[in-house]
Amino acid sequence: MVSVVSTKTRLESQPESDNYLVGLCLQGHTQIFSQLYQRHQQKVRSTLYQLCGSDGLDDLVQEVFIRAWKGLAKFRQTAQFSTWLYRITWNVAYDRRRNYAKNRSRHINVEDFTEAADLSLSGADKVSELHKMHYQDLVQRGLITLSLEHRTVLVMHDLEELSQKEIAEIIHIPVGTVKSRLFHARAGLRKFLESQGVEI
Amino acid sequence: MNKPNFDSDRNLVAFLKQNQPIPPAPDPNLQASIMAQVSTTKISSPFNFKKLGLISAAIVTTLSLVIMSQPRQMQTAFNEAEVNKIDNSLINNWHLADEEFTTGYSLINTSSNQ
Repeated sequence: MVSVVSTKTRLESQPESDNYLVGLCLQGHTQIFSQLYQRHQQKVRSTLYQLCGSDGLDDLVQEVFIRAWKGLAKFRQTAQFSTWLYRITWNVAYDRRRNYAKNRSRHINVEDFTEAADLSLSGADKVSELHKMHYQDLVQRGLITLSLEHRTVLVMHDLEELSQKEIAEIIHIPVGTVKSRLFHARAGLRKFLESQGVEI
Repeated sequence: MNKPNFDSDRNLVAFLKQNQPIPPAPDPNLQASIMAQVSTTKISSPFNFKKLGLISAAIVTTLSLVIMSQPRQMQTAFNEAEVNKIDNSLINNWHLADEEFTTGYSLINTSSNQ
């Protein structure tokens, strides 16, 4: 009990900590929220991109931060803000998947990688860049072949480098289930990459 | 048996990190758009357990008062007129009973004399 209270006090009193900024937001300093956005938008954006693709990505990012703002009073100051934000990110991705399941016909547009290509490169650089883009495309397509549950665990663990315990807290599943999903996700992705001629 | 799996996993993770899909750049106005929405949106108030406790306490108190007031209502059910009526009735019945007893006694006596 004492440690919880002291942790809370420490987190709240550290200037510039996430929890300190959350406290200021709750006191009515709306503009402080932009600092939280700038700190976490890259992680949120990256995770959403790997889970949902590029279609409507800005809208999804916006949805995450608006939900976070509205629910700021429910955030427990003893918890990590980033973990809480990942939880919201997961919920937004899950809702998106559910809406897509209703519409049935939507697919993630992997052609954006081509659009993002820097065509001004030449020679060896260009070949290398094209190889990299090809592999990125394969990874993205491989992720799409996985179920959202398996994809989420793999993205959070292997790409965002969250611990299995953190993932368990974010998705509200036991650590054993995280391990199991990670095993199956890796096996599925490895199988896909091998089918595309990639030897790992 | 485990070592090849471990190595294979390590190689896969390294490949994924090296070729991690990079999201397209956000719209330059995204942050401004989010902050504009934030400035017009209220933070939702969390579920208030104190409020719930106060409401529960108020309900319990009200119910207690209602239950406690029941016997008092029964005690004050008779007004003054009714009390007088009952008193008169008792007095009348008393004389009547006295007369009956006396008459009965005299009747017995009379019958025994005969």
